[in-house]
Amino acid sequence: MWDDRFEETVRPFLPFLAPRQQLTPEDGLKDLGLDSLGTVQLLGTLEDAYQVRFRDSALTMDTFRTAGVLWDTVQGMLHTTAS
Amino acid sequence: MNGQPTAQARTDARVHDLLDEATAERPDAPAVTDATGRWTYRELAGHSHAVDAWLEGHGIGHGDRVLVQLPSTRELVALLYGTARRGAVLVPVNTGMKDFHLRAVVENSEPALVVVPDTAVRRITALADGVPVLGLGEAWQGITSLRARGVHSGGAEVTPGDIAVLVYTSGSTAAPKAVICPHGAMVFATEAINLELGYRPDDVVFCRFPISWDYGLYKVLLTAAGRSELVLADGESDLVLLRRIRETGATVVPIVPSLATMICALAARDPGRESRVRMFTNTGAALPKSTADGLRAAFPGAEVVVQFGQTECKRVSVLPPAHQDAKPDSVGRPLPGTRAFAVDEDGHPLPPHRTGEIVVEGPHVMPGYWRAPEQTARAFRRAPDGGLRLHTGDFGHVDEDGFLYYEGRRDDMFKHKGVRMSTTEIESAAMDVPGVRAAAVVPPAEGRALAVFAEGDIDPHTLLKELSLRLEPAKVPAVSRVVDELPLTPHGKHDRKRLARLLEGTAP
Repeated sequence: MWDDRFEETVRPFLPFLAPRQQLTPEDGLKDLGLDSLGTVQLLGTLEDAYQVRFRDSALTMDTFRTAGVLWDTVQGMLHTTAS
Repeated sequence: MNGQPTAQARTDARVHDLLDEATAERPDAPAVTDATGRWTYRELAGHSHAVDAWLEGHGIGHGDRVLVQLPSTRELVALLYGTARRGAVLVPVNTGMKDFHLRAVVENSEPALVVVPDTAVRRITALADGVPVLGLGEAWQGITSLRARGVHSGGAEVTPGDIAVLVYTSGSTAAPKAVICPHGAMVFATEAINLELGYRPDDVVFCRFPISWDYGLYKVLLTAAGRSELVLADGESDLVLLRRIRETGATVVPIVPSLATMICALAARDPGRESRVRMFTNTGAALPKSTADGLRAAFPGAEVVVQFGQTECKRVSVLPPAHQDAKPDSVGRPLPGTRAFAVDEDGHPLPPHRTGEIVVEGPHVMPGYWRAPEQTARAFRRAPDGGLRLHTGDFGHVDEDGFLYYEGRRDDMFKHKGVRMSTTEIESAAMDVPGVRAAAVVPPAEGRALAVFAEGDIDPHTLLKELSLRLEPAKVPAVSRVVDELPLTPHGKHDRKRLARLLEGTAP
């Protein structure tokens, strides 16, 4: 599962997610209200928070499909940076 | 004097004349590009003739409505021009339109034929009540085979007064209503806009908007008028927006404020590469100065042109860059060959700097709403010269040079993410959600987001989710609150001022 920073970064972009409702890896981000402007802003916010850069090949709606897929992408970049 | 161009836009041409003239002049220049390829003007014209013949084969004749709910691709551009040639009426509806509204549009427009993506045929057939519904894949096979054989229709008499398109917009009522767009008025509006914007043969126009929206629709006509290339980018991921603008060599990028914000956000993480963009044209809502500055910084040398309008006359005014410094708060001057000014409650023109309703006169004023005589009579009234005067419902004033200043709406209409909508429309969708007893919508403003308040037995997040099933994405509020009782004014209306106070600080 992801770290707190990830959840804190993503939650504000999900207007349909209730404050006490749990965010799970399978949750569709679009279903939780992530719109296209939100997606672009979330991209920049995640890059700042984790000091990473999404590759062009990761700039697809698929990357932002679910919370789990998005976390995997971020985590993948963290490992690359660390090594 | 405000230095307007002296050339004149035509009132007596037809939509497909624009294509035919561009084709005669630049047959091998690129006309339209989408995610899968590109057509020259000659190829586009050929496909439009095939569409005309194909429609004829399906019994479509003068004045018949052809409803399409299709993504914005080259095929849709060919359908637009082919339907125009046939003298039939294209009814392009947004791919995001939900069944809730689509049913009303089918009922109101009474199409003779519906074309949708193959995967949607079954769903649309169920709600289209006996109207033939065809998948684009099947239709396109027929059209390409006609084109391969160079088949033309038997020809159709089409005059500038004939209706080319019905553009459905959000109404002040719950159901969508259509603006009637005749050939002559559409061509006039196109050419008048182009006198101000000056699209050129070396322009590549990057259109992120659907053709079902008049902003996208007129990009098709404007690029033909300018002999420019149109890039249809509506279906693409916004994450690659900036890359696509650079890759396609776009020189002109029409925007609304939210799109501009996205472009700025993407440019912030990927700065400093070359682009050919020379002009951003804004509409939909006022562009915040910070966003306009962000665009100019990310695209050195690019101008940001302010425009103002509504589908009922396509466009009211354009602020040419040369006047921006002198009149930074203006939404521009009326299109060449048209008039726009403020009037008092009796319809008398007001002197400069006095606020009243903005009215518009000229050949770009459309004849009214489709099958909605009462709404037509309210918005489209007689001008003293015998023509039509459009009452926009927008309030503002003019200055001594005739430039317009927009101040707000008098009814419940507003714009969000560049899309016009009404509180009524969102409230009626909310009332359709099980558990909601009453609903009030507060439009977005400085410091607060679009919000819905509901009374009833429902979770606020469930309400938003339910609304997203009934409304296009731009119309779904960002904030949802469930309250015990909605505050009312002494007149028994929703007390939006009190509701708005509950929302302070909900938007950046």
